[in-house]
Amino acid sequence: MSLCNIRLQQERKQWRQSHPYGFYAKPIKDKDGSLNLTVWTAGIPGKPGTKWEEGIYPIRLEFPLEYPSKPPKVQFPKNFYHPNVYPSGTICLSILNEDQDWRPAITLKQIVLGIQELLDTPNPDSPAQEDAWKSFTKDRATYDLKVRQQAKRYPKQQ
Amino acid sequence: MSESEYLPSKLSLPTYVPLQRTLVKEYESLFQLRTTQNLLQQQKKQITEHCDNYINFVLDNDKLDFDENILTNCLNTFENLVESNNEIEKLKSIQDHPDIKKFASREENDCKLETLDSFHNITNDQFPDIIKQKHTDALVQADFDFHKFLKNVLFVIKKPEDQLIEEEEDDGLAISGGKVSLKDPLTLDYYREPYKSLKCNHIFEKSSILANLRPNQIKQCPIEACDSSLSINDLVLDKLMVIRIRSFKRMERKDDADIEAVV
Ligand SMILES: [Zn+2]
Repeated sequence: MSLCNIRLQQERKQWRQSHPYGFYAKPIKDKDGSLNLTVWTAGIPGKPGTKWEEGIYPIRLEFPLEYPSKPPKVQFPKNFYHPNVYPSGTICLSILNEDQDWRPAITLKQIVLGIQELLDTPNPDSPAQEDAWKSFTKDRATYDLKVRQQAKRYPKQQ
Repeated sequence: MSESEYLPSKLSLPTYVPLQRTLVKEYESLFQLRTTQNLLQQQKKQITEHCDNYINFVLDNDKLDFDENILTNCLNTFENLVESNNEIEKLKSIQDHPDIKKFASREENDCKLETLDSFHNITNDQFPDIIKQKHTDALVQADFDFHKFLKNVLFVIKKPEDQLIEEEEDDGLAISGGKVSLKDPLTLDYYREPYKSLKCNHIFEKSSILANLRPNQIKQCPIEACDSSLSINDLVLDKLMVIRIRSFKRMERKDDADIEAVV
C-alpha cells in the first residue's frame, strides 16, 4: 500500500476516534459505493462569537498521489465570500501551499482548524478575490453584512 | 628494513627484567595501577558488550520480555567500575603532588606504643585537601552515551509513552510529565523501524521518510516549524524508540489478556 493510502486510512481512523467539536470530515463514496480516500468533504463551523458563527462551511479536499509530501487541494464552494478564497473556491493559506508552509506532518485536524482560524482573521496581504477583499479593506459594514448573509446559506442545523 | 633483520635469530629474553633497587617501589606502584586500570577498562568494555547483546537478543526474540534486574545489574556494575576508575585516577594524580610529598616527609615519631598519643592528635584537617576531594573524571563520550542509554532503557521499559526526565536540559530546566508519540508523523501509524534525525531529533518510520527523501537529496524536515534540513545520512535507527514500541505493545497485549481473564 502506498504511503498516501496508509496515511489517509490513519487520518480517517484518528478522526473517527476524536475530532474538534462541530467539525465533520469524511471521504466521499464512489459510484459503486466504495470509499474514495483521496477526496474528502468536510465542514468548518464558524467560531462562536464571530460573524461566521451561525454557519458551517463545506469544503472539499483532494489529496494528490504524492500526499503527504504534497498538500491536499482545499476548496470552498465556487464564489465563496472571503478575501483569501479565489473565485474558484480554492483557499489561499500558507500551510496549504507546498512552496510555503506545508509540511508532511500537518494533519487533517490542523488543516481544518487552520481554515476555521482564517475565516474571521483574513490575511489582507494576499487578496484572492476582488469582491470580499475590497469590502474588507474599505467598507467593513458591507463586508460584515455579506458574511452574515452567507452564514445563513450554510446553517449549522442540517 | 624489517625488525627481524636487526635481531639475532635465536634471541631469548631473560625471565625477569633487571631493575635498579631504588626504582623497584616506583615501578611496582605504577605497574599495579596500570594493570588494575587496564582490567577495569576491559571489564567496562565487557559489561557494555554484554548489555548490548542482551538488549539485541530480547529485541530479536519476540517472546522475551526485558528483565529489569538484568539491566539494573548492568547499570550498577558499570557505575561501580567507573567509580573504581575514578579512585585510581585520583591515586595517580596525588602521587606526585607537592602537598602530598610535604605531608609524607613531615617530622613524625616512629609509631611505637610510647608515641601513640602523638598520632591521636593528627586530625583530618591536617591532610592535604587533594586527598579529601572527590575525584570525578569526565566520562569518555562512548561511556557517557552508554550510561545514558542504559538508564533511558530502564525508564522506557516501565513507561513506554513517557518523556524522559532529562537531568539537565540545555536551557537548565528539567522537563517531565509529557507524553511521547509512538506514531510516525507521516503515516500516523505505530513505528516499526523508527529512524531519528541527528539534526533535530525528530523520528520517522524508515519507509515513509525514505519515500520523502531520495538519496543525495537535502530537504526540509517534514515536521511543521522545524528549521532543519535533512539528508538520508542524518538518520539513524532509534533503538530507544524500538524498545518503547516493544514495551508498549506488550503492555497493551497484557491489558487485553487481563480484561479477557476478568470477563
Ligand atoms: Zn525536525
